[in-house]
Amino acid sequence: MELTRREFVKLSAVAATATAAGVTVPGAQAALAVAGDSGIRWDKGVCRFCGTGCGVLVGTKDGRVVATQGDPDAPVNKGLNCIKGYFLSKIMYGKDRLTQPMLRMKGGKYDKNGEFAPISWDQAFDIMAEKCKTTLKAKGPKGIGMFGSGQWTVWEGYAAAKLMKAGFRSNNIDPNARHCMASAVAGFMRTFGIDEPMGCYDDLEHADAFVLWGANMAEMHPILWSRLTDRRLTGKGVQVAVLSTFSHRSTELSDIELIFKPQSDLAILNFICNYIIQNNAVNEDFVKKNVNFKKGVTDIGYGLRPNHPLEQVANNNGYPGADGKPKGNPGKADPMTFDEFKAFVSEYTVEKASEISGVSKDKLLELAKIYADPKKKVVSYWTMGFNQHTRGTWVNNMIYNVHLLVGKISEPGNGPFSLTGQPSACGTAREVGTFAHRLPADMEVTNPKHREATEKIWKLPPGAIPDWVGSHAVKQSRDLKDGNINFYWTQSTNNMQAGPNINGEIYPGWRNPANFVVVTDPYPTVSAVSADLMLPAAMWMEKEGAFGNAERRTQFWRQQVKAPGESRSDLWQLMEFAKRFKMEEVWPAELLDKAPEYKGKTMYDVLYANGEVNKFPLTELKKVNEHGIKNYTNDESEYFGYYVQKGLFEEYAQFGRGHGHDLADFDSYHKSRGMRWPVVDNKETLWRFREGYDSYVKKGEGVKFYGKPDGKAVIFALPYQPAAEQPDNEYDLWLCTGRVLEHWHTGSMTRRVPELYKAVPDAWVYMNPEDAKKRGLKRGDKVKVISRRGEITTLVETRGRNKPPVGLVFVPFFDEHRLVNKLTLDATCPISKETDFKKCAAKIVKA
Amino acid sequence: MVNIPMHISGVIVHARPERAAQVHERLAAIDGVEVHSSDVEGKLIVTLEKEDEKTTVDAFGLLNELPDVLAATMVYHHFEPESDSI
Repeated sequence: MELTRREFVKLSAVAATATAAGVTVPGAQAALAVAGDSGIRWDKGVCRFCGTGCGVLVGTKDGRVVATQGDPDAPVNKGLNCIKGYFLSKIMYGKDRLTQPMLRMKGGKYDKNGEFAPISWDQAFDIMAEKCKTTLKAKGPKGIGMFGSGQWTVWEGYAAAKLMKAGFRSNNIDPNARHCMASAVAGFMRTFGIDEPMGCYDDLEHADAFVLWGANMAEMHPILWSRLTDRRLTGKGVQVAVLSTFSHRSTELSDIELIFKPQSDLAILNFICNYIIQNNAVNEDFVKKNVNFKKGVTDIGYGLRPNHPLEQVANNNGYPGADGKPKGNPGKADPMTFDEFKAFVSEYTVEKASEISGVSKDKLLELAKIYADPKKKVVSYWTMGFNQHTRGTWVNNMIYNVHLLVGKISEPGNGPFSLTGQPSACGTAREVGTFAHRLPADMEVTNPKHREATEKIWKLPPGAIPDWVGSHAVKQSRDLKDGNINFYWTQSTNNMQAGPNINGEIYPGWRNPANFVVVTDPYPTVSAVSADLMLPAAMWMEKEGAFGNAERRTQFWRQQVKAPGESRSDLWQLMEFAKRFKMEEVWPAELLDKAPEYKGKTMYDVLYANGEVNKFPLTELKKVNEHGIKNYTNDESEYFGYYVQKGLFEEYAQFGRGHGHDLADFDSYHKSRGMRWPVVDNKETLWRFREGYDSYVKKGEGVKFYGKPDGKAVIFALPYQPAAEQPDNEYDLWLCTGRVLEHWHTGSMTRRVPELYKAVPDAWVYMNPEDAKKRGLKRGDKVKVISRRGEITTLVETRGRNKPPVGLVFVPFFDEHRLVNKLTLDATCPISKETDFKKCAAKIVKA
Repeated sequence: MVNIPMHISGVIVHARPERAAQVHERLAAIDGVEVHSSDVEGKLIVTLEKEDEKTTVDAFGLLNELPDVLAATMVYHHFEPESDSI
C-alpha cells in the first residue's frame, strides 16, 4: 500500500493516540515504527505548568525547542498532553522576553521614579548589594525579604533558602506556594505530622468513587481528569461526586453534583462524620489503633491586619494583645475522647447541613453513603477550594477526619489526596522548605534540634540559623507597605497580579519610596514593571531542572537550549549575588568567632563553595548525562566550574535520607521518569504508612502514621464558622477567582502563546443569567465589578463552561488587564496564613 | 512541490458510553474531523486535520463542547512545513 505524506502523518497520529488510549486500531500502530526524526533531538522533560507533573518529550533543532509531545513512557500522563502542554515549545519564545537587567533610572542613576533602562549584570548587582547592605545596617536581617516560588527548581529553592536563612540569617523568605498549598501543608502536619499525600495517582485506577471538593479537575488537572474519566467509564458502578460553589466542566461527568454555599463545606464534612458515627460505619479497629482525637481552639480570627475589628475581638489569633503578649495560639488543640467527638458532630444533622449549605438532604445523604459504605473504595481530591479558605487548615483536617473514621486511607483506591497547582510546590516549596517557618524535610526554624541538624549539614556554627518565624507572603506585603522590609527580591512569581488586595497592600508596598524591589522573571510581568530592578531569567529548558509533583514524584530534565541575551537562571543569580557579601557584612562578630575559618570569606564561599556543593567536577556532567545528550554540559556548571546542580541536590538529600523523606541518588533521576519518595534501596513508595507498601512500616505494624511520635493520626473537632466577608445589601454577590484551562496562573507564559491567547483572550465575569437580568445586563455587556477594595471593568458571560448559581460570580485571574486581585480581601487562614481567594463580597454595575 | 500547511492532531474523545454512537456521528460531521475507532467504553480515536494552529485550537474547543463528550484530550500533533519564525 502506498501512502501519501498526509496519510502517513495521519496514521502516525492515530497510532500514537490509540497507544495513549490503550486501544488498538488495526494497521495504525505499525506506522509509528517508521516515523523518521528529521534532525530533531528528543529528550525527556517535565511540563512547566501545573502540579500534575506530566512527562513531555522535548524536541530541539538548531538550538531551539521546536516541538513537544506527551511522553508515552511517563507514568503520570502515559503520552497524553493537555492543550497547554501541547504548546509548551512556544513559552520561551514570546516576543517581549527580557534579555538584560533593567533599572529605573534618571540622569544615569537609580531613581525610584525613573524609567527602566538597560544596565549590565555588574551594575545590577552593585545597586542590589548597596541597597541590601544599607538595609542590613539599618534594620538587620528582618529588614530584607525574598518571595520565591513553587516554580523554582529544587536546587533553586534550596540555594535561595540557604542564602536567606544561613547567609543573611533572615527567615523572611516565603514561596508563592503560600497562596496555594499552605493550608494543605498545615493540614498534613497537624493531622499526620508529615507533609504530602500518602497515596498516588495509581489510586485513579483503583477507586470505586471519586469525590471532588473544590477542585475543577477537568480544567485544572486535565490529564488526571482523563484518567479519572477512563475509570468512571470502564469500572463497574464507579461514581463521581463533585462539590463546588458553582457548576463547571467537572460537574458534567458527576453522578452527584453538590453546589454549596461558600464556606459551608465545613458543615458538610461534620455532617458526614456524624452520619458515619450514627450509622455504625466507624472502622473501630482502625480508629482504636491509629487515631487520637483533639478539639481545636476556635476563636482564631481571619488573618487580617491586627487592627481589623474581626481581629480585635478574636482571642486565639496569636496577635499581640493589650499586654503585648500573643493572644492564644490558633493551632492549639486539646485531647478529647471519641465520645466527646461524637457529641461534638452530633449537632450537624442532615437538616442542619442542608440548611447551611443549600444542598438538598438527598444529595448530602448520597454523598455520606459513599464514605460510609465499607465496600466502596473512595478517593477525595481537592485543590484551591479547600486550601484558599480562611478555615483552610481546618477543612483539610476535616476531610482527613472522614477518611480516618472509616479507615479508608493509605491503600490502593482509598485515600484523601491534595492536588497541587504548581509544578514544584511539593518538590521545592514544601520539601526543600522555602517557607518562612520551615527548613528542609519538614523541619522548622522554631525547633532548636531542627536548627542544629541543619547547621551541621550546612557546616555552620551553632546559632547561625535564626529562631524566629519570618514574614509569610501576605505579611511581607504588609511589611513593605509599613516600611518594615526595605529590600525585597522575588523570583519565578508574579505577586502584583496573583497576590490579594493589590490596591490596599501590595502596590503601595512596592512603590513605597523607602523600598527597593527586585523582580527576576523571563517576561515584563505586572510585577516586573512595578519593581525597581528587573532581572532577566533563563526559563524551563534553558536550564537543568528538577520538579516534585503532587504524588511525591521527583523528576529531572537536562538543559536543552541557551537562554536569550543576558538572561541567567534564578540559580546563577542567587549564587553570583552571594559573592557580593563578605561574611563580616552579614554575620555578627560573635557568630563569626565561632567559625574563624569563615573570616574574610564571601557568602558564596561559605554557602556554595563549601566542599559539598562544589565537590562534583565538570567531568561528571558528561558521565551522568551521556545517555541523553552527547557531551552534555549546562551553563551554571560551566560558569562556576563544577556540577552545581548535583552538588546542591546531594547536599540537600542528606536532610531526608533515613528520615522518611529519602531521595534517590542524583544520577538515577536523570535516567528515570521520576520516583516517588521515600525512595529506599532504589525502590519508590506508592502508598505511605501501610505495611507492604512503605518500608518505614515494619512487619506486623499494619498501618503506622509515623509522622507522629506515637504513630497515630489526629481527628480534630472543629466547627462551621462564617467567612470573613459575606455579601450584604450593597456588595450583594460572592466573588470567586480561579483559573481556566487555557491559561496557567497569571498567564505570563500562556498569554504569550498566540493560540492560547486567542482561545481565551480576556477574563470575563461569569454570572447567572438571572443575576444579569436583575441588573438589566445581558451577555457581552460591559460592567464594573466592584468590591470595597477596588474595581475592574470587564464583560458579562452568562453561558459557557462556568455556571454560577444566583448570588455568585467568577472571574479568572490570568488577565493582566483586569486584575481581579484588586478586589480580593487579604484574609487568610490564621494557621496556614493562606489567602482566601474564593470568597469576598462584590457588586456589579453597568459600565 | 507546493507545501500546503498541514496540521494533523490525534485526539482521544471520551463520550458517555451509551451515547457514543451519537457522538461518533456528530464528530464525523465536523469539517476536518475523522473518527478512526470507537469502542464500547465510549473511547473514540479521532484525528483533526486543519490548516493552522488557530483553527486546530478552535476545533479542539468545539470537541470539548459537544453534548455527551466528557473529555477530549490532545495526544499528538504534527505540522509541516516546519516554520519556527515567531
